[in-house]
Amino acid sequence: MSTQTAPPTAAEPSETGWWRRNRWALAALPVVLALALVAAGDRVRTLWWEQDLRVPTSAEAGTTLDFHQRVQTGTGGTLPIDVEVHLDHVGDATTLPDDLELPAGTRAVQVDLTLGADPDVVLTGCSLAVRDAAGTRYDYVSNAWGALQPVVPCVPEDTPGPWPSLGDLDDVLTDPDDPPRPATWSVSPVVVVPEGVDVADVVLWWQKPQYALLEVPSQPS
Amino acid sequence: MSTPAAPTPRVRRPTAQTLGAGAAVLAALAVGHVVVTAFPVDERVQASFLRPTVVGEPVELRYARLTAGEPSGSTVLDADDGSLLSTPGVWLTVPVTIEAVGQPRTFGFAELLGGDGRTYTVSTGGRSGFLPGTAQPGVPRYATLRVEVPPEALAGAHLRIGLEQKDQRRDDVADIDLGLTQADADAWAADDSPVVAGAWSDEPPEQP
Amino acid sequence: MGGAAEHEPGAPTLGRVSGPAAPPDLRARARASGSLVARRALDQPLRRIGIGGAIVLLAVTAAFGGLREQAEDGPEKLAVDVPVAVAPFELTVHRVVWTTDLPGQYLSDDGNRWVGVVATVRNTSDAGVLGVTLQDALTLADVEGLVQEPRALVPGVRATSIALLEDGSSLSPVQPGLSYEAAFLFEQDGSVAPPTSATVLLQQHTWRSGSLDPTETWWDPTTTLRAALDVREARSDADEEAES
Repeated sequence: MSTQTAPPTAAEPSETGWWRRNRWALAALPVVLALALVAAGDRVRTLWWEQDLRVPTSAEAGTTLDFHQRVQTGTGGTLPIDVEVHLDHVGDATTLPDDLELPAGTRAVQVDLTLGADPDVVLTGCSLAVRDAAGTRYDYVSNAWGALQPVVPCVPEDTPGPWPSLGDLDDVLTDPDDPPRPATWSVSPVVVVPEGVDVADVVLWWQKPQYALLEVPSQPS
Repeated sequence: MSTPAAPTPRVRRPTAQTLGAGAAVLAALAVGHVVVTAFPVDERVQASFLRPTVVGEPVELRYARLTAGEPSGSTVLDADDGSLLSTPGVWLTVPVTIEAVGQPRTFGFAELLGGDGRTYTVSTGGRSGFLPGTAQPGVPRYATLRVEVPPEALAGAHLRIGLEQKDQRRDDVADIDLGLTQADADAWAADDSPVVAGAWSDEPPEQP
Repeated sequence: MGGAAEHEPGAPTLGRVSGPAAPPDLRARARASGSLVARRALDQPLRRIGIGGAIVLLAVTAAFGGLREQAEDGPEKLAVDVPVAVAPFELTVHRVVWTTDLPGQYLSDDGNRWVGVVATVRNTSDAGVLGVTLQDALTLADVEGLVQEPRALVPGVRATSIALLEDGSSLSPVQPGLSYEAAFLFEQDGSVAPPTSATVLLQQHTWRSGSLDPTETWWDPTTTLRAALDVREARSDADEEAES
């Protein structure tokens, strides 16, 4: 600081301008400002961006959707999600799950999905919801209104496939004789929505903000 | 920076400039300090958006519409799970109706600001608790909040309910004036017939 | 800034032992810049800079309370049935008992027993406090075979649960302005003989914000009172009532 602000006296030979003397600092200034903003904005990602469904992967109604994501595991690694999803049908549930007592003013919507994935892919962390045209989300709840539906809505209940690794506990928790998950399978979770709500799309997610968006064909015949 | 008066003004000039720059930096720091401390900027920026309401009046929050019902109280609480809870003070129960907006919402924060100026914690478990679960949009959720307080805290007490258990900064918080008086406190402190505070339900509670 | 260095009579001798710490070319530049402060600072011998630095360091710590007299001389002796203030609580320890059966409380092994410290708990702060803080406020030591392991931040062993005598429920949150009669329950291995004596430790907390999290809460449980108390077998409720 002191060497820079002490200007050259008449004795010094070269008179260099302030801009020239500070050119490197000036060049670094925009970079430093950008870095400061990025550093301060880190919480925007963790506290806002990753708290909701924001990055859809969608397919046209009636087609099969390929969904890929690398999700963070609790142990610091990542797991690949590679799954094909096809929305077969959305409509009033023909048979209600055992003991389901619908609250007043609601109806039960059954979502028929056909999925396909490699039997090694960990899919057990998935959530499912239906949304209306306004974007209001109605979640699948496994244990609610007296009924017990499968905990994970998007894998077969009896053969859910692998779970995320828990390190040394894996040997205790997993039975190598468990049958593998089939290459393709169908599930029919039931979601409770208020009466008068028309389901516009079905969403499926493993880790926010990415999600699979399956549009319901308008006016199913 | 105590430089003695130099004989030649030409040599003095740089020092004067240095002093000026130093003074300007100090002045800028001082002004910044005044701006930050003289005005409660931090508090105002981080403050919750308090949405005032009274018993029976729905209040629109960012994430839900909330209605507090008529409070009741006693010295004995029936938790509706086979247990009766006593208290060295008074049990206060408040029925709350939650209508989630936009997506399912899990309420995690509640506290009672007593008329005595003290804050009474309402946890999601424990003796003083509020556990409404996850409310689905369009399906009203009925839950009962319970909190034990000294009788002197009841008159003028306000109930605050919000979404995040740990952090209500910059978010909506309902501020419900329960409209309680000293007469309510006296009556409840002398009452030992249990008030009921059961688990949440999506069916409206039966009106007595 | 010790500007009188060059006028000191002993300076030449000292200078030979430890000359100016700064390299000559830096000192020459400082002289050329015309800054008196820079020139004087760079002319200082290394030892003087070290001493000066130590003094500055001491002054800085002193400004934050480094030289303040130490307030605590170790824990005082805890007396039975005397209310003591251990922020944020006022605790009155009544007795220490053991029993094998308590309604509503479940031992991890049927052969184990409870060691209970019966106390009156009062929250003297102006806000409710969760039971985890109360668990840090009263701990037990010098009892063999306690099922809970001692934890790093709190001396002694924390209670497995804190039950209200009146209804057996777990005491949390502890609301301000109310006096609770509670038993701090510590599970003891049944294969060890019941204790005849136990050391009760009372910890005081400090209200401050965390070093990583600006939220203020109760931190730093510090033992301010302790005593070895006799432990006897609990009598039935009827006996207790007859006594009181």
